[in-house]
Amino acid sequence: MSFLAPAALGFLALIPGIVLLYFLRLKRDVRVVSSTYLWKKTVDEFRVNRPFQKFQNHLLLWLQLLAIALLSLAAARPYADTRRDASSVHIVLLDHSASMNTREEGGRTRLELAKEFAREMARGLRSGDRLMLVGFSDRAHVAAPLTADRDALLRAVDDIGPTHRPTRADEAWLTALSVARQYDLSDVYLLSDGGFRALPQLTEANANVHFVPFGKSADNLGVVHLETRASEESRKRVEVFARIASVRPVETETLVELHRNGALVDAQRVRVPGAGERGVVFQRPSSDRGAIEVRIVEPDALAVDNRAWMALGSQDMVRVVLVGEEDVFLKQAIAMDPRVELTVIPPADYAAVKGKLADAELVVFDGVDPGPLARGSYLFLGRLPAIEGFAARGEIEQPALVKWEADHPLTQYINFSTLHVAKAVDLAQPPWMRTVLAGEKGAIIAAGERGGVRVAVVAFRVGDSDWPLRVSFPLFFANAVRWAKEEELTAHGAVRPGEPLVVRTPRDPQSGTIAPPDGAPAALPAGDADRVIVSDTDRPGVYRVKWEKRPAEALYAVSLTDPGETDVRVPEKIAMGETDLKGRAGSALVRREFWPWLLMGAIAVLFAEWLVYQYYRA
Amino acid sequence: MSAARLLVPPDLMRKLDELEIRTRRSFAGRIRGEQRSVKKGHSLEFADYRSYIQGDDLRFIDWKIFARLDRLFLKLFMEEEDLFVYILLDTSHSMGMGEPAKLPYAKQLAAALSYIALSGTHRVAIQPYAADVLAPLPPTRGKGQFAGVSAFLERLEAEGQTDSRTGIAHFRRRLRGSGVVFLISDLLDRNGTVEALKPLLAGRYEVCVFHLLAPDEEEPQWEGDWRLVDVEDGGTVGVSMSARLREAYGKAVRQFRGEQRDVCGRYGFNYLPIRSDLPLESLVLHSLRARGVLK
Repeated sequence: MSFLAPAALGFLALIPGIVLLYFLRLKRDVRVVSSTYLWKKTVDEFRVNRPFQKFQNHLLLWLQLLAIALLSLAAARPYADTRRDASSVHIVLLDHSASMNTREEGGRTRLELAKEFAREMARGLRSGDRLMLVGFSDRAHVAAPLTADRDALLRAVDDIGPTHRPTRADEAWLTALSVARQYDLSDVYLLSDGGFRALPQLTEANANVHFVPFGKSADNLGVVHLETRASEESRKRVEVFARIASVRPVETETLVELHRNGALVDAQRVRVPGAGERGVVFQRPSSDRGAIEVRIVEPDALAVDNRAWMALGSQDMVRVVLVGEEDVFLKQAIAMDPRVELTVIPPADYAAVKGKLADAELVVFDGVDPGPLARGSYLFLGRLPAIEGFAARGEIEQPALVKWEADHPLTQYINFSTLHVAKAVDLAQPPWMRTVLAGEKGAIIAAGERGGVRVAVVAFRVGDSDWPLRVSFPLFFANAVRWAKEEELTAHGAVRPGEPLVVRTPRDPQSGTIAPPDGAPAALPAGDADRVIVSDTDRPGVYRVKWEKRPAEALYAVSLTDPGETDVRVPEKIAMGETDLKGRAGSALVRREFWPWLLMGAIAVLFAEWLVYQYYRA
Repeated sequence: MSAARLLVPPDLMRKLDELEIRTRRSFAGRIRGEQRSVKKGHSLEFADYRSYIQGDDLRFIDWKIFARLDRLFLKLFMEEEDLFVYILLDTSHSMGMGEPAKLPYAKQLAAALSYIALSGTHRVAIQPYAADVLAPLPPTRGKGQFAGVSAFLERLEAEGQTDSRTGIAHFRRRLRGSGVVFLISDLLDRNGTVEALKPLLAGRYEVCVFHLLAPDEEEPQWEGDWRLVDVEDGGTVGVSMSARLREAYGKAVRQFRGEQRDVCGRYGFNYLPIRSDLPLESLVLHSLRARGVLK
């Protein structure tokens, strides 16, 4: 028997205290007697002759000590792992996540080994036995319901194929428990390499749980993280940062290649420490577009994590329209991004060209009220959009700039502390807007999106500030262009296999296709929706989206980059609640806790103690 | 006689009329009474022998018997005369304790003894004492005085600490002649009560000690944990009552009684252990007669 909370046994230290209290008996009722002469004589002799008499024979004391002992034991939560005979209900959870593709000695993958085990189980079903097969990776699916049909089970085992998905066992576990609860006793077999976190505690189900581990190999390196970021030294360069992890026990030197659009553009030799990680950085021009791939050349047991992909920003020109009076500072700041194709429209001409702005990525209104807005991205300078919720409450003289959002695309990497504004609109904004630069009284710059209209509002005119003289001025407009195109300055890897891919649709509805890596293009639904969710992302690589009226492809990357999958080492045991499941085929572990019995015993003893106390008092 | 009725029931009084106080030796009284006396000058008549005790007049030793039996016997020559009966009554606070309380019982006993003495034309004097000596009942004679005696006893209340030595010393100074001394007390005086009576031996007093305890003092029936407070000196002792402690206490009480009996025996006092739940009639009519206090 072991204890889940052995520290609670410290409560047993109360026992000497209770015994001491019995000797001291500080609180006693008073009884007047004719003389204490004989009593003193008696008690003195009593103590001298029998120092522990009271201790030995006081029933109340013994009951209290027993209650303390029972309560302490209950708090320490004793348990025992008991073994039981196998039941006739077998629930097999078969892991087919990415790490199960690891090749073991003999060239077979872990999944193949696990499937062979499952087949043997199906073939070995005794009369009256039934088996249920659940395949799981980051999600679970019932491959075969509880059945005694061996052929159906064997077919179900065959149907479970390899995936490149991460491991999430919770869903499969809950599926198993929901079935196990329906039976008095069942056996749950977890066929896995343990590439997941702890399992929840086995509750309300009486089941023997068997963890059957597969795999011994620890020969793997993998790309566990990939991102690009602007170079701190020059905005003309982009850094591609990758983290390489190794679970080999010794240091490994490997070549890490960088490919762009399928062509090798860079390579570095990296020494990855044993069971450790190493970062690698590639410098690329910021004009690079397309798909990049980081590839570990060193062969190992698991191939899928040796490659990771990422889509860089598109090479499309960005059409920006500036509606306002000629402002040389503004023109220069907006046009600083070489991709920007700027068109300046005087306010007087705006009405005439209003309907022709649909293909502009960003329209900047410099002190101009455009009236109702179509779908698109708009930046207002010193003017509020004609959208419900926006209002000018007045004017603020020299507003103090309090804080700005460092993680918002509009304001990231910008320091506004040197900006001075002479006057600004006291901005009232609808709740869906987010303040990204806050003044003392309210928002100075805010941004938000509603119904396909993306709006950013700067509450002051550029001419009413010293902004053109500040570094933050061109940076802000560069951010604004990216924000309008929904580009991230810092591009984080990609979605993982199996995770949904969110594809942004063009403003004008049109048909499109998505081509998975090495696969045939599939049609994307056309409609008014801003986004399309693509769920079939099982294969890692670059997914290419082509819209009918757009010349360029939009690229989306799917990469495993999961440290848990790269770590292919098989644990000796996995945690189930607070119990450890040791990896042993055929081991049946049912943890039994005894605290409820102990607690009930303690309550009974306390009740008896109360009765005895009342009896003595009577 | 209303008070007297309370202390001694009338039917008991009728039975008491037939009793008289018995002494182991003869006493000289002031006037003729029913008690035989050794006083000279009256119709001397050999009455009996009794064992010699310290203080007896050597002239009355029967030397012939001594020569024959090698034991000293005293020849008693009787003359009927009155007897002094002194009742020493402990009225300390402890006498008010117990269930039934000891003092009311002691008063009844004192009243009964007084009634018997007065009926026999003896002189009765009562000396209550506690921390100090209280006003005594002066020697009274005649059955008609019993009402006064009863009223005197009725007025007594349990109060103050026990100081037997002081009380008995005062009492000795007031003694006249010789006679019988009845001491009624719980003897719960740590300085010793019986020892204080030792000087009475020289005065040829016959002493009878009634050691009165209440039943719950002999055999306490309560349970639990208590802080016992001494009603007289306020001293405390903590006890957790258990069967073993009760047994040990009972043993201590028996030992205490035994010690008192031994002391009395050493001085030639008659020692009578009594309890306040013993019916008075049974005590007087049977126990005291059986122990030779009454006849």
